[in-house]
Amino acid sequence: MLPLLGLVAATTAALGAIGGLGGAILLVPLLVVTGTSPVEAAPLGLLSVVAGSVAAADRHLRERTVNHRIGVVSELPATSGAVLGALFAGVISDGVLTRVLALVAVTAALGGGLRRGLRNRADPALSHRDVGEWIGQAAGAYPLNGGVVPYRAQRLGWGLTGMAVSGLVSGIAGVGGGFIKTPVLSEIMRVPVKVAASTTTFTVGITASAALTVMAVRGQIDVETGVVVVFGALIGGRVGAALQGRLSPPMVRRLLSVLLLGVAFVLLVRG
Amino acid sequence: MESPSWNPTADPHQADRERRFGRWSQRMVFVTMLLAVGALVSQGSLRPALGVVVVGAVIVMPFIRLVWLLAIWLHQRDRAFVWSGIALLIVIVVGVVAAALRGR
Repeated sequence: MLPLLGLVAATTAALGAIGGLGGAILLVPLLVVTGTSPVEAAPLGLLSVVAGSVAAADRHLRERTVNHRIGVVSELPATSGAVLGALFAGVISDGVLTRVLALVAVTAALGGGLRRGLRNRADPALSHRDVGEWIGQAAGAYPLNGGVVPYRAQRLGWGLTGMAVSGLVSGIAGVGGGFIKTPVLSEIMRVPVKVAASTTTFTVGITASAALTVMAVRGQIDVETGVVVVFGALIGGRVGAALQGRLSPPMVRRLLSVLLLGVAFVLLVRG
Repeated sequence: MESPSWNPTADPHQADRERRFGRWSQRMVFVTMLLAVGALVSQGSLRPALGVVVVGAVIVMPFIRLVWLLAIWLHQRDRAFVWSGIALLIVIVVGVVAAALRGR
């Protein structure tokens, strides 16, 4: 059973690192279906998210696809919303909430999946010295096919509102929220999908660590099973980040759409 | 394309810093994986002890990255983002304390 758990954790962490989903939204229902109680499954899911995030860091930092400034700024309303949501958990019935989350996942999947081409294109005026995040701005540039692609987080008001709502909903529902954050960054704030996915992989690691700290204080983490999940997710996170680096942005977007449809399916089955 | 309005102000040292942190992170991941293997194959009291170290290391690493970022932004005098990072840390601490108190 434990080797299988490690393999499943590796797979969900790899998918999570490619699309910036975190992966717990896939792992936790699988664990519950196979007989693990939800109380035990939740910390294991979060452990896979943190381990996947940590393992993907090296590759994302080397490829300069993560924008920490956009990540921290967008995580502020998301975490505030999650704290509020967690405090008000139970005000909306689980059934309604699950259907709303599934609808959000399908909308995000269609939004990204049906879009053709690239919004952000390489700018010949920029050199590799301009690659990275830019000081004092929610902007930057990332390397793509030998060129340098600039980007800037746009529609900040709508984007940060979307992040707050995603945090609120994920706090109420007890899910990570990466599957909402990546589409908000990509489709509302117009951040390139690779940067959006890498940035979300970084931010969901922080959120999941905070939640795990609470669970550790409460003694809810099964350490012996947790080690297996961590081991699998560390491998999966590295593999996922490496795969993301090889895929073109439209391919990442399509894969993300497929994963989001999978998340919607899992949510509806779970609900 | 909005290239004329782009105002790139990339820090020339940022790439080196990110690579260094990436290498450190990679080493930590490798050590954590070795400890995880140790926990999986060991017996007796060593097994849970190594498990606690592995889980603890994984939980702490994202916070180390956040503090590292704050140090860099402070060095770059990027005050707005330093304050954003500090605000995020405060929200996380408040959230953790509130959740821990609510659970008791």
